[in-house]
Amino acid sequence: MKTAAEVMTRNVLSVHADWSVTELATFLCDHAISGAPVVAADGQPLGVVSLTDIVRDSVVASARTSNGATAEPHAFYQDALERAVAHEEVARFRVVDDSQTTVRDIMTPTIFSVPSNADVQEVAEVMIRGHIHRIFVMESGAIVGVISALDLLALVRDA
Amino acid sequence: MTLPVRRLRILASSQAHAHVSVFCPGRGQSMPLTQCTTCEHVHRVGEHEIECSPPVEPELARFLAEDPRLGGDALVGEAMATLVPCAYVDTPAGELSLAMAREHLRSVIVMDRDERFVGLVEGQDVETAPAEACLHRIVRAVAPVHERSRLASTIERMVKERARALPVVDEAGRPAGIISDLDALRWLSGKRAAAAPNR
Repeated sequence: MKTAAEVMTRNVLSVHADWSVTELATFLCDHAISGAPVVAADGQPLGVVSLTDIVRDSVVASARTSNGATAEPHAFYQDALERAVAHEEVARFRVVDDSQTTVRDIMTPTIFSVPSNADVQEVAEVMIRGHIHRIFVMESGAIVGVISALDLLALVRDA
Repeated sequence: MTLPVRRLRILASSQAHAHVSVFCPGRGQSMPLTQCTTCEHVHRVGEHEIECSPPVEPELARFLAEDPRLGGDALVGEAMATLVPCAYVDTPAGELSLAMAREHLRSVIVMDRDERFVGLVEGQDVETAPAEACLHRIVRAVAPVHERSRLASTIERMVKERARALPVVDEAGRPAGIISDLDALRWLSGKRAAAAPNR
């Protein structure tokens, strides 16, 4: 059976916890991605952040709990669309934020991950149990890839 | 066999009610749960699932025998989600936005007043629209899949279009459910576990 390392997408773009929300928005829009893992200066993964967090932070800040946790898995994991953000969405997206808010303030400090040697059946079980559509692959404490539920379905289809 | 009971929940409406149905693999279509209670093949009707042993109708058997592939001869109706949030096209975006936030929903099926499928709205659509704007102004057109479509071809479409979820409709074009990548994965995983129970 194939392992996570064999099916994952490599070169995961990450953002730094100390970036401002404006820097984050620019980065996500420039790369046309809807979210990214957050890492510390030494590369250690700290959490995840998405465009939804930026919108929520500026529009419905009161809806967030004090530690940023929500009852459901974070949007980054739920939004399994590996697709780039639609052009019209990016074009529509504007951040008016001159505050000192950083990525660390709005991220969700949770990393759903599997080791790179986990087999795909284990990966599927973790996703199903956790209701998550996207999961990181870790090796020696660092993120080395990402797998979506659609990647696993493609694997089954091609088998 | 055990079949899940499905609930179509209509959000943000003064006419709030829920359609409760079961996808009958014997007939290849969703049936109101009330119909199951009078079906001779049903052994037990529970709140969340029923137990029955439906014989497959000859026409459906022929259809399934034509091209059995991935997922065996499973139909979308068998794998789709059990809870389906819906809203009418004339629902104000602000009203639905609150309901979606309250229930942590990312997308909702939109239907007309005859309860025919119209499209989908996502959280960001209703959050960014004027609160009084009705859903028909912001609804996204998405081609639904039929509940009697093969799961295999639906998975192919999801993978090809990178679509995390697709709306499912019944014979009359009414919303019957939603099939997501995780629903498909869960179904396939369950089949695998059933095939190898001692794994």
